[in-house]
Formats: sequence, structure tokens, C-alpha cells
Amino acid sequence: MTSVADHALELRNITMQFGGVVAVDSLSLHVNQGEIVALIGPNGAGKTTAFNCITGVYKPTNGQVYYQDQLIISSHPQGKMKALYAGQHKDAYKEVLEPTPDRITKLGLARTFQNIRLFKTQTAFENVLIATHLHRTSNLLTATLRLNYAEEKRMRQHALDMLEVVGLADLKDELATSLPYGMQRQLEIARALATKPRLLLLDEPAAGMNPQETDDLGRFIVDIKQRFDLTVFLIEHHMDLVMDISDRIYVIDFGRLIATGSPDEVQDNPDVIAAYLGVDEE
Amino acid sequence: MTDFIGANLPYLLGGISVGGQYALIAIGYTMVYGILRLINFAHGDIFTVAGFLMVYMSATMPLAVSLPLTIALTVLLGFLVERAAYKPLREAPRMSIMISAIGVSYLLQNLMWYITGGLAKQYPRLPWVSDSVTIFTATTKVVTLVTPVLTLALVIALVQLINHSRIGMAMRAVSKDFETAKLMGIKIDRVISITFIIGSFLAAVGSALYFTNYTAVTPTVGAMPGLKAFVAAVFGGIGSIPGAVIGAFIIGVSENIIKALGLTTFSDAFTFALLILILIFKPTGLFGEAATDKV
Amino acid sequence: MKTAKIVLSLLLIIIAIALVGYTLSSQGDLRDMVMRLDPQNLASADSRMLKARDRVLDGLAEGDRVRDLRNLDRYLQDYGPQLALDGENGLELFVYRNGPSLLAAGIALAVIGAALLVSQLDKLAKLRKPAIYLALAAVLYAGVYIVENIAGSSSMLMTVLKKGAIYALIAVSMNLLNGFTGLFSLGQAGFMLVGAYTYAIFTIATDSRAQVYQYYDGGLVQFALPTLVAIVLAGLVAAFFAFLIGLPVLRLKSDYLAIATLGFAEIIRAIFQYDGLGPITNGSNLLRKFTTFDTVLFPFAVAGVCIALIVMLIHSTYGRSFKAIRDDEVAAEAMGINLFRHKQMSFVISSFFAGVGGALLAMYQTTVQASAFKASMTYEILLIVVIGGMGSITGSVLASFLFVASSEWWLRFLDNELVIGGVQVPLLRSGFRMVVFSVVIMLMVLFYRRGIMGDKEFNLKSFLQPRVRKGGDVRG
Repeated sequence: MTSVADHALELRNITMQFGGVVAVDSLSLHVNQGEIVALIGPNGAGKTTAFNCITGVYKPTNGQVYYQDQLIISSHPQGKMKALYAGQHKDAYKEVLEPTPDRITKLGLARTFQNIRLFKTQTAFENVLIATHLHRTSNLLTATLRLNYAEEKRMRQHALDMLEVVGLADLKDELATSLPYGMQRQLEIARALATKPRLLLLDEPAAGMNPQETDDLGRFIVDIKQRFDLTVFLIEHHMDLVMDISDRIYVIDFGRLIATGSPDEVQDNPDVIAAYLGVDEE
Repeated sequence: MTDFIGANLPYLLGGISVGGQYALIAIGYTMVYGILRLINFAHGDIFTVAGFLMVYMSATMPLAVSLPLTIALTVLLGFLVERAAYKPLREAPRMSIMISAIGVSYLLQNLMWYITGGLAKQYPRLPWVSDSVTIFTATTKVVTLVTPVLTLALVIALVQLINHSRIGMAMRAVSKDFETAKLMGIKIDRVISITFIIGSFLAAVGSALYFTNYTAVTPTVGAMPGLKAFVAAVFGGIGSIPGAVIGAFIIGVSENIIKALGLTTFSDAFTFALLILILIFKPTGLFGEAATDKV
Repeated sequence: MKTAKIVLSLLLIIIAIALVGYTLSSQGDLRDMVMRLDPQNLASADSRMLKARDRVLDGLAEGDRVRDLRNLDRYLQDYGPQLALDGENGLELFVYRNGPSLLAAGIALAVIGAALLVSQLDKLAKLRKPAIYLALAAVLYAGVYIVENIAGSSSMLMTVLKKGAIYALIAVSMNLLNGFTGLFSLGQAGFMLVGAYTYAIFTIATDSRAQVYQYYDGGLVQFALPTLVAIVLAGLVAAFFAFLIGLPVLRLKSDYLAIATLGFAEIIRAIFQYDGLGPITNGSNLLRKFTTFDTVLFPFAVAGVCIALIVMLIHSTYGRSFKAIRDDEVAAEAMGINLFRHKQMSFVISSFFAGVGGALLAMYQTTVQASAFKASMTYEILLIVVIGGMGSITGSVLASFLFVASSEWWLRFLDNELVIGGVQVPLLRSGFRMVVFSVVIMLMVLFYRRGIMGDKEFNLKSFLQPRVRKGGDVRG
């Protein structure tokens, strides 16, 4: 039985450099258990890149990621990058831990994507069902010969439950890409939830939504956080949503952290205002 | 010492010669891949068609007519293949266009089989290049010496074209970023057609040189050189013309060294082993650039 | 309605049992029947007729049915007019002659009856679908068997069915990899080659080995395995090759995967033609004198079982993971699916069945030579998969049979010179068939890209139930 960790997620000096461009520069932040924390910043600030570093899609050039106080990702400049490296703390980290995204998801971090990435040829139900696979125990033989019917049943039931949670149970046999945009976003969340995460990373979940939908989404996020005992870390441009539901906010610009604090603190921060040239109201 | 040279020089010369021929074919592959991200499986067959065209034309026409005519027709074929089989699929997923290329290759081979009846045809004897010449005790054909020189000349001309002409700039732009080039007003169709025209032209020249050495022309004779030329392109860095040329020469020479060592059955397999190695250790090839995908 | 169906199903089963019973019983009465054919005993007066009749009777003891039938047919052919070939005798002869076909029909009827029964019993609702599939399979196999008995084993129709079944298996195995997992691999010919050779090497009759391996002192392998064991071994060896090759190759991007697998297939071909390995592979000489099959049922059975397994795999949780990888690798990985392990699984399994297909191909062709397994073989299979529809098993099976039927049979006339009214029709000569064929394929690739079935399968439900119109369908 593990004790509850202090920080659900912690980044230490995460730097991501592509060729000569430093997309994320020594980003350090943490998310406490049960919090909703937002990562905001102008377009191109490096937010999704940071997400990709956390979830293993990119291997960071430098820095470390801790999940539930355990080190899961660690890197330092190697090979060609040693000479090219333009960030800080070059020799701070010795270890190299570069797990693949599936490993990270199995640890309990789930994510959604900024550009919706549903499985195009599958129905809504199948999309969510696929996300239940990571906990399966049957091997190839038992699965092929259908000897794993108990497990199949469980996975299907779980997928249905997740669809219920987002209110899409009626549309479960519709092709995922034929759903309206807003519902596709909901479906992505259902899919991420199906992996039974403890930390949920949402990348612009409200993108393309009108104020009413954004409102509903905000309530929905708070609701599932409570229902499933989650910690939520989200990237968002809709300031009303961010201010509404976040416990804390981190602001980055040009890959660097420029401010952090409670919603009120961040709203009045002159650097933040300068970075945005006024608070966005989309 | 002279014995060693005498025994091995033919292989070395042969290697440089066939390497040059592979290079001419490889350029076609690498240019098309650079622009369309397509492995033109039919390129090797276009090379073979050029060989057959020459066989049939020179039977009824003097060389001064048949050779340029063959080259012109080969170029036309390359152009038509692109228009008919690849252009319609430009918006389709990548696999579709590659399957189309395979389909064209299949069609061309069956066509050639049908027209020629399956028996090997003899390539006509071109004056001067087919003559024998002796260097340092090794006897070989003039074509062996002409090939590398001609290849280099053509490559230099091509690189000049690409780096110093408007159309060359357009080609470079399209291979860097297809969508943006289109938005910038570059006439994509023209650029692509010219790419195929240049590739087919070089393949036609290459076939004239190749078949002067290996005179038996069959419908499937182009498959292996085609594949090897493609390996050369990948080895040198797909999209890079100098890379393709260097890769081709390396393959040509190595292949002949293996033959000199007596392991003829493996001379073909060697090329593919080389391919595997480069794909594992440096997939972008000797001179290629890595590209990162946005998630 | 329900009771009627139950009664019908029981009736079918009873008829089936009766048919089977009668057929079996009549197989033994031949001696009596032959005597009964000649009630006036004309044979005793005609010595040649007597000899013919005795030849039939004597052979019966040995139980060589094929020879018995031949003797009987000769006897009937020569002396038919003098024999009592009507009524009961006629029927008995018919039943004896077509015994195996009638048995097959009987079994099929029994299965259909049982399936119908099962479909009407609510308690057995779970077995409904498998029962229907079983019934369809029974009809298919019985049908094919009966057709073979009528048309003859070496007829064109049978050739098409045999080769079609083999290609169907190979196409499905390729579809698993390319269409369902999205891995554009061009190495199929290599794995077929491995399977074909493994099978041949281990089933050459021990006393023929010296003859086949004449340049290699009889070869290294000096024993022969039973057929089915050898087939499974063929698949396993191919799978093993795939496992090794996959380790470096599966991490490559799609285009590079295509050429890497193509390259490996060529390397494999070179290895199997290498003289140094002659004691095992017979170098550049072909392999022959290994166990082959006669009846069309064999490739149908093997291919059927394999395809059934692949279908079950695709509908399982692992199959769904494959499809997820095909649709969006990044998202699949984010949902906890290990890309490499699943790609490896798909690659190895696909190659296993390609190996089995190769073994079947070897049995069909009765000789095996490495030089035949060129890249063009892979291209043909790929084109079949495309025509059938990437991502549709039914499509691959259909397209395989269409492909083989067209290229071997229906379009053959295009290869023959035709003279109409003294004028020779242009274009028609050897090789035209393949040209037309390639053009048709190109047209399909260009204009009918989704193939015959797209990514849909033969849907049992929509086939059996009448179409129901959706009311107020706004989304038209």
C-alpha cells in the first residue's frame, strides 16, 4: 500500500530543443493531488510541447518528470545535442529514463489531444473500448479463442460506463468522426478516462466551443475530478473556463515560465497581461 | 602486382561503370521521392522500356535517329505515367499512390512481355562505346570509361539547374514543403512533370550505357538495377542528388568487389544488406536530413 | 412459425441420417449388385463379359475404391445394353458411384438442420451465430467436394478453387498486416518462400532424397515428417524469420518499412539459392517429390481453419489494438498500446500464415524453386488485397478467387489467336491476357480505390434480415 504522494506531477527544468530552437526552456512546475491546474500562454508558447514531454511523445532534451513523487522521465543532452544545447542546467541530470507513451499511460497519466485524434474508422464505442485494453491480462491465444469472455465483458461494460459519464451512450454505434465537433471532444475525454487514470492531461478541451458549452465543460471537469478522484492538468485558451475551475495557474511564454499563482494573482500580473496584450476572451 | 591489378581492374572498372549507370537511374528515384514522397516502383521498368525501344527502333532506323527518338519516347512515357497514374492520387493516402506505382510496374512488365514474346532481345551495337579498349592489361569496353564521365557531367549540369535556375528553385521549394509551395503560386503540375521528365531522360541515357554492357534485354531485366538504384538513393539520403550518385557508385563498386571475391550469388543480396544497415543506423542516409513530425 | 421451423429442422436431420445410412450401407453390397445387374446370367455364355465381370468382383476384395469404380465403369460401358440398368439397380449404382458426394451432402444437411434447430431454441441463443457459420461452412465444403467429384480433380474449375484458396490465405495474411495494422510490408514472398522450402525439405520421402539432392550427396535432412506437422513447422519457421527481421525493421517509418521488407525478401531469396546451403536447400536446383494433395478439400480445409483463426484474432482485443495502430499510432500509444509489441505480433502472425500459404503453394505446384518467389509475387498479392479492399477479409477472399479465375481461366481466351471470317483479330495472342488484366487492375487502383468490399465484411445480419427503413433520417 503506497502512501499518497505530495505531488501528483512535478517537472524539474524540463527543456525541449528541436535543432536550434528551444521550444520549452527549463520549465519547473508541480501539481498537487486533487488540484485542477492550468497551463496558459500565447499561441506557440510551448504548452503542447510540454505536454508531449510529460507523456513521452517527445523525449525532453534536459530535465526530469516526477509522477506521484516517483521519477519517470529523466534526460540530459546527448550526442549532437551536447554541443548544440542552448538551455540551462546542462549537467544537472545524469540519469536517462525515456519511457514510451504507453508505459506512461499505464502508470496512470492519460491525455487528450489539441487536434482531435479519434480512431477514424471506429465507432464511438470502439474508440473508448480500445482505451480499456491496457489493463488486459489475457494473452494472444486466449483472446483469439475467446477464452477471455469475462475480461471482454468487463472491458465492454467499462467502455459503456465511460460513454454514459460523458452522455454519449446513445450514440455509441455512430462513427466517431461523424459526431459533431463538441461531442468528439467529449468522446476524447471519455476515452482518456477509460484508461483509469489518476492524472488527466487535457489539451485545449474547450477549443471550438461556444460559451454555453464551455460552461458545461467546466462543470463536467469538476464533476469527474470528484467522481473519479482525479488530478487535472489542462492547457486552455478560454480564460473564463481557466479562471473558473483552476486552483492554480502557470503562465508560459516562449517556452519559459513567466508567472504562477491563483487565478486572481495571475489575472493582475503585468507580465501576463503584456504577454497576451490583454486577457483573451474567446 | 600487375597480376593483382590485371585480375581486379576489370572488376573495379566494371564497378565504376555500373555505378554510374545506377546513379543515372537513382537520380530519378530520389528526385521523385523528394517531391512526392513516392517510391516510383515503375522507374526500373521505364529504364527497361528504353532498352526495348532502342532494340526495335534501331532495327529500322539509323542510329542518329533511333537514339534521340528512344530518349524522347522514354521521356514521354515517364510524363504520361505521372499524369495518368500518379496525378489523380495526389490527395490520396500515401499507400494508394505507391500501390499505383506497383500497378504501373506490373502493367509495363506484362506489356513488354506481350509485345516481345518473352525472348531476350539483343541490344544494338552502338559505335565507339561498344569498342574494346585496354587499360593496364585489363580489357574492357569504351562504355566503361565513358559512363562515369558522362554521369558526372550530367549530374553537375543537373545540380547547376537546381541551384541556379528558377525552375530548380521551384523544385527545391516543392520538395521542402509541398503545401506552402502550392500556396505561394508555384505551378505544382509543371514542377512535378519536369521532375519526371528529367528522371526519365537520365534513365534513358543510363539504359543506353547499361545495355551496351549487358546486351540481353528482357521485360524483367530492369527490376534488379531499379531496386539497386533505389537502394543507392536511400543510402545516399533520399532527396539528395549528390547522395544518390555517391551511393550508386559505392554500390556498383562493392557489388563488383564481391563478384571478384567469388561470391556472385550474394552480390545482389549485398546491396539489400547495405540497405538494411543504413535504415537501422542512419535512416536518413549519408546526406539526408531528419524531419520531425508535429504532434 | 417457430414450431414449423423446428419440425423442418428435425426433418432435415432425419433425412440426413437416412441418406447417410443408406449410402453407407450400399457401399458394401457391390458383389450382390453386380450379380443383380445380370439377372439372366448372360455372362456365363459370353466369356469376355464374364472376364469383365470377374475383374470387378475380384478387385472388390482389395478395397481400392478408385480401381473398383474404374472396373465397374468399363464393365457398364462395354456391356451396358445387356444389363438391367433400370429402376432399383440404377438407383443403387448411382448411390454407389456418388457415395462420397452423397455422404457429404448428408452431413451438410444434418449440420443445416442442427443449426436451424439451435436458432429456434432460446436457451441456446449464444450458439446461434457460430451455428449459422458452421452451417454455411458445411454447405461450402460439401458443395466444393461434390463439384470436385463431378467435374474431376484436374479440371480448370478445380485448379481455380485450389489455387484460389491458397491465394486467399496468403492475401488474408497480408491484409492482416497491411490493411488491419497499417504496416506497409512488401516481404510476403520471402516468408512464403521460407514456408514452402521448410515444408518441402521436411516431407521429401526418405528414399527419394538421394535423387532430389543429387548434387549434395542426398542432403542433410534424412527423415520425413507427417504432412500437417510439416505445415505447422513451415509457419513456425517463417514466423521465426519474421521475428528476427522485425526487430530492426518495425521501428522504421512506413515507406522505409516497405523497402526494408522488400530488401529482406530478396536477401532470403539469395540465401535459399546459395550453393553453400545446398545440403539443406538444394541450392539453385528445385525441390520435388514431397507430399502433395489431391483433393480440393485439403487446401480449403487448411486455408479455412487459418482464415477463421485470423478472423477471430481481428475481432479480439488484440485485433482492435491493431486497428487502433492503423488509424492513429500516436493516439493508440497514448491509450496504453505498446506499438512495437503489437506491430511485432501482427508481423509474426501474418508471416506465420504466409509460411503456411507457402507450404500449400508448394504442395499445389509439386515443385519448389527459390527463383519463383520474386518481388512480383508480393506485388500480385498486394494488388489482390487492394482490389478486395484493405481491411476486409471477405474482400481478400473474394478478390483472390476472382484474380485466379480471371488470370487462369476466364481471360485465357485472350491468349489464343482468333480468326473471324478469314481475318485474324488483332491483339489476341499469348500475353494479352495479362495485359488486359493489368489494365483492369490499374483502373481499379485509380478509380475504385476502396476495392470491392472497402473495409466492410460480409454481414450476416444484413444478409438474412430484410432491410428496415429508418424513419425521419435527417442526416441522409
